[in-house]
Amino acid sequence: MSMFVVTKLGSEEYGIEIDKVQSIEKITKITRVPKAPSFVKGVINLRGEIIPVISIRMLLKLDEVDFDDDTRIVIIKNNDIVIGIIVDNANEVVEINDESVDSIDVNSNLYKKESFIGRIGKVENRILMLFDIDKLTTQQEVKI
Amino acid sequence: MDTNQYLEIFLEESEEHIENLNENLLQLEKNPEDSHIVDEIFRSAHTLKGMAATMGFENMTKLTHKMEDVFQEIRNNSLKVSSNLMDVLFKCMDALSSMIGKISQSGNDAYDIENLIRLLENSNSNEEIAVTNNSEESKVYVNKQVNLYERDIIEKAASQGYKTYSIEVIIDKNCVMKSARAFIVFNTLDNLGDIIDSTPSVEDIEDEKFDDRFTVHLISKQDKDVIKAKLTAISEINEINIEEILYSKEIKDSKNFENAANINNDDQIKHNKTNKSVRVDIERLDNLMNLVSELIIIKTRLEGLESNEKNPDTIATIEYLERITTNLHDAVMKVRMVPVERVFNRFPRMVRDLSRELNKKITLNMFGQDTEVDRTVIDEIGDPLVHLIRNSIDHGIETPELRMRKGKPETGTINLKAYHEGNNVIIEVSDDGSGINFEKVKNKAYEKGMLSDEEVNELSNEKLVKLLFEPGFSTSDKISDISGRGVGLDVVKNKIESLNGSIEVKTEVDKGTKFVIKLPLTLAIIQALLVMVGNEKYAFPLNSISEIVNKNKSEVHLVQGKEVVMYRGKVIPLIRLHNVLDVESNEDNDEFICVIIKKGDNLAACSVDELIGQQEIVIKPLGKYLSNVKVIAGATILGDGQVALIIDSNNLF
Repeated sequence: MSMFVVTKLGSEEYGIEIDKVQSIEKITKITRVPKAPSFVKGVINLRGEIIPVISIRMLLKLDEVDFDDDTRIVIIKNNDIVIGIIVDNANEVVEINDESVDSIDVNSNLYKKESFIGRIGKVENRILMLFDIDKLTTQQEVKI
Repeated sequence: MDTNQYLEIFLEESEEHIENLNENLLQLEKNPEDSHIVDEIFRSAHTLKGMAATMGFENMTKLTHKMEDVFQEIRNNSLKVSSNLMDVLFKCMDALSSMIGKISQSGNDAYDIENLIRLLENSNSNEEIAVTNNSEESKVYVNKQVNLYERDIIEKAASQGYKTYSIEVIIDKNCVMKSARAFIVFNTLDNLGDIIDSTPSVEDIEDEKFDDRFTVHLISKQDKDVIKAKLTAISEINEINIEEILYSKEIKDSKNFENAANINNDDQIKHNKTNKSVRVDIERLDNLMNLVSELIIIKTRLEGLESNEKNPDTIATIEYLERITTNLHDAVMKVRMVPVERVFNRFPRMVRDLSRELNKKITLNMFGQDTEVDRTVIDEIGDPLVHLIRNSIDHGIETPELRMRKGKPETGTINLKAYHEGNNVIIEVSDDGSGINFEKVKNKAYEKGMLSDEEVNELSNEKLVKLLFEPGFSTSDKISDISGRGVGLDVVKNKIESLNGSIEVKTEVDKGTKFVIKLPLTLAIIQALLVMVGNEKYAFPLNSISEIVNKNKSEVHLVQGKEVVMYRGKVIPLIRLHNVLDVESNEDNDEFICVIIKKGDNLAACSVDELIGQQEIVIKPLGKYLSNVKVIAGATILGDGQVALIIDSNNLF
């Protein structure tokens, strides 16, 4: 049994393991960082700490949307790397049985573009795409 | 006994003692006759042994015990300091260091010490034979221990027919009350004559602060044998060695020596003093620093509000707060400062080992060891300096024969100097070796395809020097253990730049090479100039700025397609900051503001839209995730909570 924070991008639902989530913040002023990859929106001041914020929509090659009152920054901490990801909405936590979590078929065309999705979780009749946090937090280093 | 809770203290203190031993051994090698040094070494070794035994590290105890035996013999003058002996001792030191390393990692001191112990024992037995032949010499040595004041007394006593004896008393190891025995000895001697001196001091002996032996100087009319007979009558005394102190001319010659020894002693006292400190976990200091940083951010915010404030009381209070935070900041900074001595300490040993290995004669001079630098800088600067000194020894200093042929003194010199300059610390590594051979650099670079045909003929020496810092560059023909694998200088440069510092080289053929490293005093809080570029705020570290000037469009020239401006008679590149940072510039006037930034001797002009002002800022890292962003050195939080990025001027040009 694991718990996941449910985040929404449009109508799609994504899950993040709850022990990797440090906090969920309302959108604040983001300072652009020049020369950073385009999906890095910039950095924010989170109670005195500087945290890079990335647009998960851009990373998943979805269309970008304007921020609104529901927009949240989910602060993820993995080992010593802390990043924030911008999602449309995050206001639910679900429990998923371990047997209801499937690893995805890497060769399937269905998931190829979204390699940041590690597994799929099923709760009742909902389907949750579960982020591969390790991949998400090391993306920078792999890319350059 | 559960010793775990003491492990950390043990490790720290052992490291300190090992460092101390290393240093003193080096001193001893230079002044083999200085008894103060031997005493100091003996004390450290003894403490180390005691600590290791308490913690139950057997190998370490065994080894230090054997070392102690050797030191004891040196102290008794029955063993002479030779460089072979020193080699063995240094090997033991290395073994001890690696044991400490092992203990901190795995909690045990498994190490093969048999070999070392055999070596130590050999050095013992060889000398035992020599002792008998050397008694003449030991007399001279005793003489040298006598200080000026005593000499006066001895001289007077001698003129009145008194004799002066140096009496060494060795108390039985099983004796329970050593100080009581010693007291009886003192009493007996007092009846025979006057005691003028004792080592260790009388107070120490009373407190049982001695091992199993002590030496006293006695003035007496009695014969040597009479004294001996009286003393041997005391029980639990193992051995009595009595020697008459003969007052010879040699003593007068030894005056210089005495002075030298005194100076050394002063050093020792100073050294001991620096060790008298409170141990604080660096994390706690970091935490303190963070809190001060927060305070400074809030202070800046209050200052922002102050401008709207009419109440003079509020203004005065805020000004007072400002003064306090500045002082607090300074105080915390000072706490985090450590003398560069900590890094420098390991170099004498390194230079000694390397010069022996390479058969070169090298003296290492160190200046300004007490220059203080932030703890974080100290931790990082060690490796680059090792690289540079190794380079100097390997490439710089020539072999003694070659130096003689060049008409230079046989012994090469390496100077290591540290000093403050403004808000920076400068560390210089210079040698009087062969200097950088530019032809060789050129050829090598050409071979490696780093230079084109034209460039080979055109490049100035300054440009060639830059090549040295390129990855994979080495001029050494053969790869040695010491350097020449081509991973040296680029690593040094990267490290120093990651600390916001810079490195420069000055070299002259056959005169030597000098590396000058410039480092910021602290990495956490700096003075910065805030500027606007487009709609974004950026901060320039103040120590990278040389000047701010206004330039007119007409002053911008093109050289090979690149924009340049004239600055104090020099042509320097113009960097349009809004282009580098991908911002739309708001300014479209003919006049624009240029921040002249410096990197070593190189200058460049940075165009900015607007100046906001100077401010104390707290540097916050961008984090690992964004570690590849080169032009930005970090971020800071302004008074209003906004984030401003700090420009890394080293990477702008």
